[in-house]
Amino acid sequence: MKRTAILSSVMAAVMLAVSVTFGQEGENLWSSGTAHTLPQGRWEKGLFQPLRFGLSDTKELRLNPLISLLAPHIHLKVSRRPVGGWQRAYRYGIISPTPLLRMVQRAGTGGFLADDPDIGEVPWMVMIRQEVLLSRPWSRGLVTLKGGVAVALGAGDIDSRLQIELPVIYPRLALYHSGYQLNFGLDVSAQLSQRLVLLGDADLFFSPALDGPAWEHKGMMQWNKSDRLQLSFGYKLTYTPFPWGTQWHLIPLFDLQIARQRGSERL
Amino acid sequence: MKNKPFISLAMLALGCEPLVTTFDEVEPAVYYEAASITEVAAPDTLLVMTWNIKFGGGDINFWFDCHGERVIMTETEVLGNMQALAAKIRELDPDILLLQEVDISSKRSAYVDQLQLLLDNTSLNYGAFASMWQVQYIPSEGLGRMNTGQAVLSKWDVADAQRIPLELIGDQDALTQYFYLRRNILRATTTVPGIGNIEILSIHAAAFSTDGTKKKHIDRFKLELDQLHSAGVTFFAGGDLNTLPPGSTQLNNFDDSVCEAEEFQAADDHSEEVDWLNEFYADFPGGYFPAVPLADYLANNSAYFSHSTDPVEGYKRKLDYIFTNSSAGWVGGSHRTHQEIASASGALSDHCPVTVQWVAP
Repeated sequence: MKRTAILSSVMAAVMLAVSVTFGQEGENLWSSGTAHTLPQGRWEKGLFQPLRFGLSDTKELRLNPLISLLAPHIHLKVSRRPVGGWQRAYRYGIISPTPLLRMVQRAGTGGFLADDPDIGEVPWMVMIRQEVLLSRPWSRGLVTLKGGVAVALGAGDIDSRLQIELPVIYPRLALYHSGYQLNFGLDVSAQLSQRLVLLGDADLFFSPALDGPAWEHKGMMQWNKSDRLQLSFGYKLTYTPFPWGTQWHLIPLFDLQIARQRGSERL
Repeated sequence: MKNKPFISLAMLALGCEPLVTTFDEVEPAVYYEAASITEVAAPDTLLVMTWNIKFGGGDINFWFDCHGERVIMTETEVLGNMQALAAKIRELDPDILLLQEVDISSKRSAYVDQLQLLLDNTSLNYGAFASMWQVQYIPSEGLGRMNTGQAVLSKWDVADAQRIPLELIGDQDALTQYFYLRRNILRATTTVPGIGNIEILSIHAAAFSTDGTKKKHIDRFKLELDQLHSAGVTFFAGGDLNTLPPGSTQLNNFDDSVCEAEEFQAADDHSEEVDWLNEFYADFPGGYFPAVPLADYLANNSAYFSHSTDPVEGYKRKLDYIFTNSSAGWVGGSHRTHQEIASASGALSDHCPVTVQWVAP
């Protein structure tokens, strides 16, 4: 039965990895998830979190190197001058999930999508997303508002059976069935001590392919051992309108992130 | 009980609903009721029927039979097949119906609640359901969500419905076993006006077992019937036993068995099962009254064949049964094995229904 627990963990990890890959940034544990960008030359990478790199003090790149082999993607965040006390940023993302989805469209174990001749192969699809982020300090933390729109190209009239009815993944794949999706979110962080940070967020997804909005909430505790090492753990609570009805899911989260500053021995 | 910590882990990882519902103990079954109740007068004769409906798959060739590669049906396909099944049930008009392979919320059948659909489209009014495979997500073949099982339907109220768990296949690895089917006996009571209480039992015994699990399922079914009979309870019991009657002339090498996998070939070789149903067919009261008397079957096996993986080419073996302990037995000559549901133009299921009449003594 240990293998059952292992399988569950692997599936949970797949969910998280794919959720990040499918274009919804938000698990930006150290300094992201906000309208702020990394300093020029700094990079951060977690076990599950994607690689983020500060191209300049106002531009940040993000990608998951391993998953990009199966789902080519890149995300760029550009910060702008504050307005009315709100730091502004725009996030742009592009991804093609097709190779990853085709990999799991198979017979036997690991078949998340049916290799059914009546359904056909997953078509070549590209998603383009743009989001606006607004952040401002409050008390001992930071509050961030975000809103975005994503458009799927190439999905056409993709077969409705090409869906993976799992939390986190299902609302993101809905984009390819409706052609577009809107998302709105709120992130709040609070500095509990010099090294402890509490994060909470809520995200809403709207898509014509969903029978109502999908809702996700994350709560995380971060322990910043230094500017180079961070441990985090928490949970994600999801409310998903599946075809058979809405369901709640609670998913444990944890991560270990490291960071370095290019051109500097120590941050 | 030893599985509980791991099940809890799976719940934690994948949600507030268990990844796999394990049904460790005898549990209440799920009750159903037609959207509109059809009033039925006190009957003189009851028609009892059993049918494995292949989750509304009709004559679609699925991957598991090796005749095709289909996995997930469209909603249009499912509704079309289910309406055809409902039409056949309306035509035969059973008073009591035992069903196997009924999907109530499965991706492969477009999440159609097939039991509710049948109740709403026939003159049957009440039902009970016991799942044999309830999994949030099966990460294999693209199956996804699954909830399928047996049902009993009646024109009269159904009560005291129980799901009696059967032994799991023992020679599977733990992971496969965790995600695999959990067979059971569905038992319920229907109260027929002017006749009284009758116990209805529906079983779908293991198909793919090489460790004797199927024999254990059949023996457990017999034990359940013996206990009811000892208690003086009248029963109609049946379903898909996945084994052949005693004296069957062909036991293996069926020409519809095209899967080459060892497991499938072993499952379709019944040469070691020749005496497994002897106790059912023994003279009453040690045995019980079969819908199709053994003498009729032995005189012409093929007339009573009820299953084929390719029914358009004809049914190849008898797997579906109904028994009673009523002292009057069934109405002589009233049994029918409805092979007409398959023809060159298609089939309603890979199993055909069996019906038989009963008159209260």
